[in-house]
Amino acid sequence: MIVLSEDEPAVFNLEDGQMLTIEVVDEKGIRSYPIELKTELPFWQQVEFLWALLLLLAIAIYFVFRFSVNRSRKNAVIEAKLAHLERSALQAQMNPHFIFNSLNSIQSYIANNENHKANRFLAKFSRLIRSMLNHSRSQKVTLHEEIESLRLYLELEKMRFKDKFEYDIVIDEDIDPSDIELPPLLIQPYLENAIIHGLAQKRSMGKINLFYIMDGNYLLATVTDNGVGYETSKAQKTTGQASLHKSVGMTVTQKRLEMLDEGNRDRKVHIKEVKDRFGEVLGTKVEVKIRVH
Amino acid sequence: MIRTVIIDDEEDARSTLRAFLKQYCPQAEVVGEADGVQEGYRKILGENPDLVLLDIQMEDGTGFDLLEKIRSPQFQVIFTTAFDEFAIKAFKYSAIDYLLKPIDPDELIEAVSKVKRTPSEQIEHLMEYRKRGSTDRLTLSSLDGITVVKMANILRLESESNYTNFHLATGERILVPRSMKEFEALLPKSTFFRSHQSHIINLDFVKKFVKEDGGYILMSDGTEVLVARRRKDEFLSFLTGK
Repeated sequence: MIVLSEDEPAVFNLEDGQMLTIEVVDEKGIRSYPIELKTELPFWQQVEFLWALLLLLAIAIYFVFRFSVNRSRKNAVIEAKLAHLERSALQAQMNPHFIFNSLNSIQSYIANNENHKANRFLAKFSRLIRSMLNHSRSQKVTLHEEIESLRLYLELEKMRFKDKFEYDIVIDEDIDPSDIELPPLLIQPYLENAIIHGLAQKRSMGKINLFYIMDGNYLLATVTDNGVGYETSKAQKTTGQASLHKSVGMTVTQKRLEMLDEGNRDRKVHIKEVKDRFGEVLGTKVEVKIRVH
Repeated sequence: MIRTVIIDDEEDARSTLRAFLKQYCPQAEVVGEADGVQEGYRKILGENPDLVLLDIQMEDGTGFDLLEKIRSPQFQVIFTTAFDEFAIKAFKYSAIDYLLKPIDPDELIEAVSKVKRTPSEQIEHLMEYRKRGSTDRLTLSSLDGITVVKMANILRLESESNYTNFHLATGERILVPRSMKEFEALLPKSTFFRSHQSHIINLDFVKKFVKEDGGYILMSDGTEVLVARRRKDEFLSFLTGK
């Protein structure tokens, strides 16, 4: 209760949201109606606003959460897919047939006292296995390392098939092989296919060429052979498991190539028979597009 | 002399077998080699061998294809394979001899030491498995000969060191020189139960479970089969579940 006097005006400092009730009482004790003076809270301090804000925040959090869950789920799916593909690439590369065939070759050298051949084969085989194991852990290898592995693979198959074929690996002059990185073991299934389905059935000397050239952001790998051709080998093919496995390797490579170049749905692998002008099959040509930049 | 034909499309595999036979099995004489089904068929007809070492996957077909042409062979066949789970399963059911490549000389010596004609029932059983992917029979190769039995007619198996004694529903017994563990993997889990380290029983022939003396199983032929304490609960749940 404040007693007001005429010459002393009362000054009140109302803070935001505070209320001042004024009642005037005269000497007789009669009260006037109370007058309420109230200052409004700024809108950001009002309860309704705070509720609304809270709600908005909750919604925002919900959406952010859902988005991130979705994204991490999506990422997890992609990563799982990639891991699976890497693994199957390793398995495709570590084609059990290839491994056992190699072991059988080593046994035959030993059985026939061909020590020199046994040692050569064993050393190359273990070098290839070692590089496969190393590369299986890394996403990418340099083209230089990749070619090293492919060379070892081809050398082993050459020994196994008693020099039934020769091979050549050529890199275009513009390419620095230690400068380009790519996922390991992409081309191997196509080389394997060329050897087993193209050249093994052929009586005369086989020839495999592997050629690398740059095409914009892509590394273009071309495998050509002078084998019996895609169609013929397919027709001759028995229901054997060996042939089944080959297509697994090539399917895996195709998927890996697609994932490497997301957003571009171009075909990454082109396989065609090479024919002369009389329609005679000269061999098979496989073109593989690898996104490297 | 055991007149032998080697059929394999890999030169390395043939040369290994050739060298091993010469070194470890002097009683065997290689009279012919072939690198495929067609050529192999001709060699067999021409040479009339005692023993054929036969690869599974070849360029122009499989070893099965070749056997199918012959059906009732006058020779023993031993398959050789590097990697073929399905084929190995077929060999196990039909008790056909096989060697894994790379080849263990000990196994080769053992397989060649008992060369005799491979019975056509065994070949038929092999082909049946290959066509259907399953079989309801089991070929038992005992010292007396080959018997193909329906698995449903096997009452129980009892292990005797490295031998397995088959008790058939007919009362017949067949002693097979293989460990019981090998057969455990072949018998269907739905009807065959390993009650004890040395016993596998056919649940269809269980008469009752006797709780006395720590528990044993009374079979329909009156024999008592032990139950290991660890397996008792599993066995009882099997019985009540059925």
